[in-house]
Amino acid sequence: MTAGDLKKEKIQKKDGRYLYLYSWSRGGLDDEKADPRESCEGGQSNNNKRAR
Amino acid sequence: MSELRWNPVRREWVIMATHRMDRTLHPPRDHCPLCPTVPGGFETEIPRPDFEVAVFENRFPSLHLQPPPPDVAGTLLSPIAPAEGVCEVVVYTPEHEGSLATLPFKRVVQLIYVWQERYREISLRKGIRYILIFENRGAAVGVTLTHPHGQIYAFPFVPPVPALELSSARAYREETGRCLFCDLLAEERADGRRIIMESKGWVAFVPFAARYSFEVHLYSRRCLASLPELRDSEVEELAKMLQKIVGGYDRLFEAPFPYLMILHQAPVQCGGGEERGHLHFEFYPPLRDRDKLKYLAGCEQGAGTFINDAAPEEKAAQLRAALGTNADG
Repeated sequence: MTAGDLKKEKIQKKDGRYLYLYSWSRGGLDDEKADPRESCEGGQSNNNKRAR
Repeated sequence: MSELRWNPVRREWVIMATHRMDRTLHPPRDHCPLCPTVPGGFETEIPRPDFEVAVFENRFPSLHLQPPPPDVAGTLLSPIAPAEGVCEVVVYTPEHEGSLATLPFKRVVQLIYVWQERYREISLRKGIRYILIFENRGAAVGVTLTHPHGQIYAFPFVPPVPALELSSARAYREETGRCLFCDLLAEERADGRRIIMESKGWVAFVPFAARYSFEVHLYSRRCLASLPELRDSEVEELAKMLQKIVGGYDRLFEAPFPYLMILHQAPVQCGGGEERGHLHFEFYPPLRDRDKLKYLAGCEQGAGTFINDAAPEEKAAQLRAALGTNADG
């Protein structure tokens, strides 16, 4: 998914305020939750001088 | 009353917004204004039975697209100005419970693209000079609605914190020809003791001169000024880093961890040669230990000097352990 896949709908609320609804234009959101740990390294692993 | 009053002693604008006294305060769950509207039920801010990410004008704005005229007259010494600007609420999910850490990964990626889009659109509006994207989380920092959400404030001036940051960066660049933030990041990485996590595009660390015990800064490795400059790969990495930081915070004391999360980026409608800074996030958590809050008391409020009663190197180690626990869990 990229910024280009973002769809925006503008709605005028009853009191005049605007509301934007954003959705993915292709397929929407699936339930797959990527593991946020992938490709993120702990601070200790990259530098030999870390942590006395 | 809704207006800006200038304090010539502190050289800062103060927003007067007396209507905010009446804003929605800890509503019952079935009257959460940020949930979708259930057919036949209470009409929330989002009149749809479902949505992904929603952004709307704050019902109780501090700054207005069309501000009313000031209520009182200013003077030459103490000027007054209309409270012009933008205040938006960004609702991360239709689910009432959750956090950045528990949202589906793709929703966090989507949220970052929404931030980008709002930054681009708002920056084109006349009179806007600075766009602040932030999240307040937890009752300890005064949150009145628990539904996962953040806010966007767009100011007609560069507020004092980013102004000081940019002024320091400009002075450093004049002196050395280099970016202050890039050099700080290099110094943190060379030392390494306060780094809590790294990826190809981002580095998270407890800063050397942290003001809060568990303060975390998240810097883009490339010297970027604002969110729209991010590559898609950097957006995905950012989503992972944000989820991991908030997940690590929640692991610390096995409870939702309160914080302020502030996105620092370039002012908009910059003049030629104006310092643009370096894209980064700063997390200010008020907890200094389990059930112990850091208050901004006499020294912090009266002198502007923070007292941190924890060593940043130790807190970074504690956070790494929490992130590691999270990673193993």
